[in-house]
Amino acid sequence: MLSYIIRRLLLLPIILLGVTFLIFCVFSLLSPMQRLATYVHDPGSLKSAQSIERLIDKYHLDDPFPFGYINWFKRILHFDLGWSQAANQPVWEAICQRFPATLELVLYSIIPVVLVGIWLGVISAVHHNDMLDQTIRVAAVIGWSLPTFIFGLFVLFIFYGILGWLPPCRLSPWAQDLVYTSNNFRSYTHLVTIDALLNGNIPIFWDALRHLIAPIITLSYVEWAGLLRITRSSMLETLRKDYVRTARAKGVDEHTVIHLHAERNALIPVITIAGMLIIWMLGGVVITETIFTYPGVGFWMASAAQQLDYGSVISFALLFATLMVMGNLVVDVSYALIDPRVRLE
Amino acid sequence: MKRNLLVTVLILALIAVFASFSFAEVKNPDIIISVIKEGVETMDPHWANDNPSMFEVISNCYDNLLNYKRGSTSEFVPMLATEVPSVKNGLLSEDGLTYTFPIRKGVKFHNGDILTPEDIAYSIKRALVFDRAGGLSYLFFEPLLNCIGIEEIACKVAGVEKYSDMFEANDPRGELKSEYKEAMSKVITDYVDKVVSIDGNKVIFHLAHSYGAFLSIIPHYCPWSSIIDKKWAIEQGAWDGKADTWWKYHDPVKEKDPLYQIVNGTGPFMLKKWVPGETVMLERFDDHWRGPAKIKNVQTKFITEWTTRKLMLQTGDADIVSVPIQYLDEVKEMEGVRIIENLPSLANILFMWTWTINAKGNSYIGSGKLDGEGIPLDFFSDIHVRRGFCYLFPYDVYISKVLKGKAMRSPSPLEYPLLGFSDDPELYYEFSLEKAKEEFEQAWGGQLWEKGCKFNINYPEGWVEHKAACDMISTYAKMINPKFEITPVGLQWSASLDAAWTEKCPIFIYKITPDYPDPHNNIQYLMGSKGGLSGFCFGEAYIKFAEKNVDPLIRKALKETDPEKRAALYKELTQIAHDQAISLYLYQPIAHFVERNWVKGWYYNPLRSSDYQDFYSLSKGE
Repeated sequence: MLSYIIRRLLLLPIILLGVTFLIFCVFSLLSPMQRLATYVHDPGSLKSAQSIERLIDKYHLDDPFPFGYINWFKRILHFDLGWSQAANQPVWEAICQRFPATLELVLYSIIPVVLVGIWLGVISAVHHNDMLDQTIRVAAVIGWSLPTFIFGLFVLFIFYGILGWLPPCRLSPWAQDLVYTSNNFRSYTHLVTIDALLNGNIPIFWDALRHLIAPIITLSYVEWAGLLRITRSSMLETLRKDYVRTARAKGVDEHTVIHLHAERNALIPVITIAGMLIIWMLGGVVITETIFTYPGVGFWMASAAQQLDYGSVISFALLFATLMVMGNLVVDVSYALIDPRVRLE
Repeated sequence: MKRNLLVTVLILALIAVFASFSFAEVKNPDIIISVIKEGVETMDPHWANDNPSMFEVISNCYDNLLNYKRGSTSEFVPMLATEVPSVKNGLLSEDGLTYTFPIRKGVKFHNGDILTPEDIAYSIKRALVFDRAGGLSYLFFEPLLNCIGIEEIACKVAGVEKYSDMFEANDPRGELKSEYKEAMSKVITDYVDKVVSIDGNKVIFHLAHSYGAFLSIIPHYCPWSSIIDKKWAIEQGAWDGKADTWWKYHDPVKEKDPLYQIVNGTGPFMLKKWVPGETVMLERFDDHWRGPAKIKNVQTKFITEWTTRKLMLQTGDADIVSVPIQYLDEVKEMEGVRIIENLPSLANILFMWTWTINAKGNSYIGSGKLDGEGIPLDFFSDIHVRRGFCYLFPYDVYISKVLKGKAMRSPSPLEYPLLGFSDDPELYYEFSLEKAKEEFEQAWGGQLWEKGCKFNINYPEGWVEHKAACDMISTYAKMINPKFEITPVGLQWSASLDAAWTEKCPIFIYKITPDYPDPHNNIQYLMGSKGGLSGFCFGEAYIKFAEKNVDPLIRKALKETDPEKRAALYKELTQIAHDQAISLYLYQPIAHFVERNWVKGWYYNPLRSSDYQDFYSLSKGE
């Protein structure tokens, strides 16, 4: 297993090089004038031919492709991720500011996604083809096919617009003031709910949680359906296995058969999917973050891509590719640990 | 059973907790929350060229020498200066070359430093030295140094063709070659230092030539002339004011600009915190020279999603919200919300045509010939073509149906109420298919009518109303002659930069907002041979026309200091714009403003889009 892990880790730099090179290639297809759009949002600021020439020179927009990539690469080796035009701050700062927000949202969302998805998947499999199973499957199809932005707007409209309970953004103004400017609030993890508890500030904890609930509901409802289907399918297959029939024949009660014997084995593929889901969500849940104005990486990346801010896109791709590779590795290893029949070659 | 009871109690408790956060009277009474669509880009007044930075933050944190009289675009009142220079009070020389500003005493910066004339002189000089590409400092160069930028002066003094030639590896941000050091120092000692001097408590500007618009580039809402604290700026790493270092501080990249995320002005608000992409928090400066503002805190949030902004307004979590025109009806019946409409805004929407089109890689002009399958490169150099299109457009229908009446006809490059604006009915092209047909029949010796034409008309992607305008042109053109095939094509911003600013677009619809409310800004930009748009996007044929027919009048109007005489000259220029159909001037938008009715003190300022506020005048209460 160790050699497997090392081999996978050795692949990481090659993957990162490939990903960044590919993105750079795509951006280099744009002309210097097109790439100027990253730096000029108002054409009124282009007062003369000279100002355009100066801008193109200043940002090296007409550098031949290999030079541009090499210069970027040299900076990366010095741990300089460059500047994000979309975020108006260094890329590293932008990541440090926004990634914890997405992480917080994802960590809270994954709990209902996994628990509800698995729970309902098991129930659905156990009550195969009866009314309960059909109802759950219909709900799953709705969740699976409902566009995130529609459901998100619905949640926003009901729980905020009408009831006023679950506001958008990350914090209320008074809480933002405290968290961002007060010397009495220390950010340990940059996960506001955790930091609030660590600071012993319960009002901020509740405020942060209140702002999280609507995006969690939105994200969870859309994602649990996928996990439910896999759990159901895996559970159905497991329930047909000989050892389950044997357990029942031996007189083991149904609860034990399902939850102790069948479910544990059925969850092996589900863990794989759940692991990948977490990684995917960490890449930014753009639509949810946009609707709820939640300041995470997804929203930032969408803006960066629109503005052709390739510096931000490439740097974040580095981070995300690393997460993906490491996440995949963890999932594969845990798979092997859970199921002794699996050999990692 | 017990578990069910516990769950029910928990749910009820949560409901009670959340319900307590629900609607309340005058929410957040000590904070005004303004929600805008775009984020702030910088705090540095000499960098700023975007509306949120300029109008939402910088103009609330920094002051200028003068301000505009409330609601006016041409009358000034003192701000950090104690008088507005005029010939009458002797502070403006009769030849228009010297402006003297007596400086207010006892004004404090946010850090407690006292304002001195040195701060003002430094601020202006720093603007000249900073002169970033795409910035607005260039506005000082024309009146003060009769050039377009500091690099031009540097090249002239050093005797080089390109500014970068003076640096190692041709990198202007690298090391200066030693042989140019003396010449570069002279840029400051012989030029920059001479544009502004100090005499006791007075700051004196020395212009290179008479410039009727000079006071319009000085006052509030012109961030490039905001006054910064010299001592503080140098401590932060900005230019040290010396002649032998200035190039190190010239046109930096944003990450190297020491003032990009900090503020120290004399304005009524201090910067508390800027979280890029999220929010800017300002707090009241209690030692402001006009007296402290009524509101203690201001928070500007950047929210692109319209539904979210609307719901925040509805629930009272936002006090002021940016509402696009197409969504105005959604807030009209909203309880507790006040809407103020019919505010003329300083913006102009026009179709511009390229008199000499760039053929290189151009897919917008078909065959490139007048053969029915395209248009020739000089298609729009024929006045009958231009006039034909001017008669082709259904202006009133467009304003009433597409813009829902939220616009007024704009007959010229000048908007109401700029100096020189004329409402003369003769300046308005009427919608007349008959007249359009007559013009097109005369165009290109009759060949256009006989053979037809085929080309693209471009608009910025996402602008629904601009697309509608292009569709109308296309439809009516085909209506009068089925051989006229004009296809609207939406361009992403990056593609439009590449197409319009390299003279590839035959016709392009565009919105301009002036940098300052003086007719020179509009006329030069839209008509001058060196104008930012006309000199750059209209092509060689237009430049030649403008050099002969437009530039002399522009120069004359600029040098004139008598407002009445200037107005007459600009009217003459707008007549030329009409007669020559230089562009198809469409409309001037009518703006609106939306706030919660507990916000008090708002007033309209046409210089500052209604999306951005003067928080000093605002308060909250029942």
